[in-house]
Amino acid sequence: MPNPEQIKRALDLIRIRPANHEYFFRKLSSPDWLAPLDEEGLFASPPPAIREGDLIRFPNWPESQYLARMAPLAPDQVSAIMNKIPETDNVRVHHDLATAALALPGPLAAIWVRSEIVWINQQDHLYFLLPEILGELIEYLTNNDCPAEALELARALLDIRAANAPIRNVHARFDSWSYEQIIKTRIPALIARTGTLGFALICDLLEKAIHMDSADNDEDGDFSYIWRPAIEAHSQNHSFGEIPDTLVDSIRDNALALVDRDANPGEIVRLLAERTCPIFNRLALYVMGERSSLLPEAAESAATALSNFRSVKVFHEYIHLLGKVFPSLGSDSRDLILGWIDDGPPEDYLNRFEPDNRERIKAHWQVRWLSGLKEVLPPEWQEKLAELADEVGEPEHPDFHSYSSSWVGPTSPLSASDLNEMSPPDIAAYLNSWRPTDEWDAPTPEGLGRTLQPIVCGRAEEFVSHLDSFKESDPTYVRFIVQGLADAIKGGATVDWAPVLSFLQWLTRQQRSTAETHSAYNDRDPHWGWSWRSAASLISYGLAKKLIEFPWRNQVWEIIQNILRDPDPTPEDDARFSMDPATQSINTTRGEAMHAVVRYALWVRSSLLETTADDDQTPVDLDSIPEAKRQFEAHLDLGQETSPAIRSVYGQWLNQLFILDRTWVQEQLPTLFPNDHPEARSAVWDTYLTHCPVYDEVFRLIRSEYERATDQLPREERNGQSMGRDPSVCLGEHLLILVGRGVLKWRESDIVAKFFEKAPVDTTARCVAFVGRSLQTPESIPGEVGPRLVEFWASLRSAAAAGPTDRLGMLKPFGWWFGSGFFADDWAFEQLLEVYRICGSVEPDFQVLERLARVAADRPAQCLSAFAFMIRSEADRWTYWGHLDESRKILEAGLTNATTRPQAEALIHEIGARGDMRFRELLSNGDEAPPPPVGD
Amino acid sequence: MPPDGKDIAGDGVEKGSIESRRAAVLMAFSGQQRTLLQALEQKNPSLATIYVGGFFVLSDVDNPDRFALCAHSIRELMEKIPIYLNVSTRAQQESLKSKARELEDSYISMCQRTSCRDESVGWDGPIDNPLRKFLRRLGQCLDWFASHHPRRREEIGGMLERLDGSAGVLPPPLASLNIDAWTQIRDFFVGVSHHRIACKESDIRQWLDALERFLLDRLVPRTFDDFNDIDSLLDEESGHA
Repeated sequence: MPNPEQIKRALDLIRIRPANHEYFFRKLSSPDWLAPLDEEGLFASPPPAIREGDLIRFPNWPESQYLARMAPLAPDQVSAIMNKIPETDNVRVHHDLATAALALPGPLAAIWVRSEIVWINQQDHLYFLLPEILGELIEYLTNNDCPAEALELARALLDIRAANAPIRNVHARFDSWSYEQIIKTRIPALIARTGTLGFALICDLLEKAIHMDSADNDEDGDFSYIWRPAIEAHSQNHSFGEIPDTLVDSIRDNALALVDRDANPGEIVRLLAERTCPIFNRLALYVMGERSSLLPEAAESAATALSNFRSVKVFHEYIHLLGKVFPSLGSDSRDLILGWIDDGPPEDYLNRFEPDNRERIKAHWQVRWLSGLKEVLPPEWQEKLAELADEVGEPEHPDFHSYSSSWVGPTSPLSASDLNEMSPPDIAAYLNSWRPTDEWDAPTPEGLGRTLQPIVCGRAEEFVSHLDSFKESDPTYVRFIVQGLADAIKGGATVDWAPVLSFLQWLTRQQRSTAETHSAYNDRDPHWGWSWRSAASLISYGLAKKLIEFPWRNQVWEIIQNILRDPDPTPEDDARFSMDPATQSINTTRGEAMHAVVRYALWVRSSLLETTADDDQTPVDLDSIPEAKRQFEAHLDLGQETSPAIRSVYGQWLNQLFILDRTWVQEQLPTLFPNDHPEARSAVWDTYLTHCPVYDEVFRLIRSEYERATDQLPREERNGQSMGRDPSVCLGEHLLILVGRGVLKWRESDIVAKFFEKAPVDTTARCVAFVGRSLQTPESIPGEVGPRLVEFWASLRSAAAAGPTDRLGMLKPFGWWFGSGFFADDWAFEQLLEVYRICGSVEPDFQVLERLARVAADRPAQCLSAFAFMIRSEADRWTYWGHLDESRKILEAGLTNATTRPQAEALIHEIGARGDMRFRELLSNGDEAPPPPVGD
Repeated sequence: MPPDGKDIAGDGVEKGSIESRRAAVLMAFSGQQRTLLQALEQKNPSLATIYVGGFFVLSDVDNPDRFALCAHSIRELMEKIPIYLNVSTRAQQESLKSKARELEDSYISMCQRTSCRDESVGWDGPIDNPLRKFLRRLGQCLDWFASHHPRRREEIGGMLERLDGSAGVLPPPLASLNIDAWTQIRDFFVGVSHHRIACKESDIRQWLDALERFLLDRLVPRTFDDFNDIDSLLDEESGHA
């Protein structure tokens, strides 16, 4: 037992800080401290739950953890203290106390449980693993002579309430998975010990669930035959662990166990049958069916009850019971049941149908019953069943009123292996002859086409030589054939382009609309436009990779020009789809064709340059490719072409158009970036910014556009632009690349200064981060870039300091710069510490930490200073937690150096004060230095 | 002593000047005091100035009131710490003042209109409307005061939590011990500064030491040293020492 002086010393130590308090209680291994600490009131104040907005936290309470550890050693003392602890909403404390209760003798645990039951009944929700340990306590009390308390605890813990949900709207105080586990693992022992009392508990819960769920009731009771088609485990029970299902399982299994064990098995069936909801009758029928040898009289009585025979709600279990007991029934009973079947359905049921249909309905009804009893029917009834089945068919699942199955589509009428065994002409013939049905789950042209595509890809050469065979085929199949060829070519297959181009010529000469009619389920292309888009994509690839030889120029151009006629995208499409213009351009037929025009022009230029004699000075520009030039100009004409998707193609290829014909681009600038049509301008400009690298020459040509964009910078961040890329950020990135190249400098009122003064802070910060990320491979960056960026940084810092406080945020991503290791360490550390000082944190913290760890051995003092900033920063204070190795390296380097050792020690103690003990052992390496001196 | 009364110290600092006296004070600082000074400087240079100021006057042996003046500085330091740690304190006194003024106006107005007040009898009779209105207003004012002005112990508790900086919270019995300790130190310095407590220099230094330790434990934690002490204590109690 500690003496008063030791108790005072302990209190003096643990009151210094929470970490000391926690450490002390964690280290306590003797119950001797229980009494004195209790006297000091340490067990009287469990910390409450902390609610912050929608979040709730439950602090640890070292005192209750100590009690849990001491319970086996000093049960009486611990029990006395536990029962004095004021009520708390902190579930961690409840968890600890439940753990302690599990180590107490049953009667002592029961005392605490009584007050816990009161608390549970007041809770809306039980968090974390508390339900599980309380479930364990149910079993513990059951097995330790406290069944009454176990029963009451189970009643409180497993209680259910109404939820605000449209269907199956009951829930427990905790998740349904844990509920199921407790019901499965803890309740059987309770029921085994308490018999019908425990069994009644789970029946009460199910009854309450059904009554609570207004959607699960009508005047005839519950709809369990819908939400629980079978009492036995069955694939038709589409349960997702809902509470009523869990309870049905439990009642079923425990009822069987009780019947097997009980001297009076009929009592269990009686307890079930006396409840009014049909689900209990179903359970009773099930138990009688499964244990008919133990319950012969009850089973026969249930089998011959007309109310069961007539009830739709107990049909499944009743027909199963009949199937099991029919052979053992007396002949009178058998005849009675067969007579009911022979009589047919009740008249009021039949009268719902037209008189002409009633005989057929009756036959269906009879065949269902007889099929369900097929195995046990007398021979003459077997014959009757056969006759009826010939007439109306035999149900696949006669024991279910309805049976659900699933389907995944679209499907093909032929498998891939079937198709692969056929020659291309045979496949073409099949495609022309096969017709889809209109059934919802039947094979479709789309399904057949999808199966065909990889076959074409795998046998491209063979298909190319038989492409003419497919000229009679539906557009759907033609599309998949073209896509199959494209897959093959992209995969490296060599094909003869002559028949391919000839086929594409034929394809693109077709009238767009087709004569075929479409039904709801036949899943086919509505016109040729989709095939044309695939054709444009294939041509583009062939041109880009120079797989198509130059002599095919005219044929290629005809194909592209034909596809350019396609109306997709229509102005309605532009208005309807929310995707950005650039994305839309590759998902529309005319858009894909415009990309092909650019590819074509580049292909022609390249081919002309290859064939031009060395001494020929004739320039190869768009005048050499007049057919492309005409289309470029036509689709720039806002009187003819209004689609932003098509205009975005010019933005995406602006650099290449510049290469093709600089003069033409210069002449077209007013058309490319019209003053009076912001949407048309933005389609080109935003796509250029978001898709193109910046070329110095192009920048010089369109500098005025950069200046205009800077002047018109939005005040706030834009979202959802061009595949998620914000054009404003891309503008800043272009400018910073030009700064790095020395094309631009930060000058007052000039474009760079304007951008960083005007753009939203988040935008500028993302640009700063972009530069840092670009420096991650410093060896690939020319040395002269460094001084330019250092100069830029100085200007940025000055601008940030001169602006409103929130502008400082644009300096935070300096972590990328620092982490790159691209800059001289002296400069980089100076900036890093300054950014920490003025911004409070640096992004990304992990980059900084990793770099600090790399250089810690050489610069321990600076690394410790930066590390200190980091762990004291509100934003980054826990970064070090997930970077144990890096943090350790920094601290170790600091400890190794005599000058920095005090600072390193102080940081280790500071981290320890947060309760993090992982660096404690570092302090035992070598002698500790005296407290840090005051600087002069 | 040179004829002009000035003494030049070996380090070039003119003896008797503010700088030389400050240097002398700092030179006499123990390691504990230096560490605390550095920690205070990190929190806020003004706190460090107040702390050094206390020693400054304490070292002025010619000043007969130096203990009270030193105690005043230290009391000031203890009062200012919460402000520099952004802990809510009685900084809302201004608004309390305006509330009191409003209440005073209501009281005067009520006195003029109520029939419950008689110059000769004083307050008498059933509550009438003006008095009822005033009492309601008084209740609202007291509610406001209760929710906006934490009691002194709550204030100190909040300040000590911020001082610790570990983001954890001590259980109330332990937090209460800390509040007691802080209050005891403060009461001593307030008593000395108001000349209610007579003391010797050694008393002042003893209480300063207590304050320094208290602050250092929180501003410059030596967590693992404390853990070692806890380990030793538990070993000692269990007989393993």
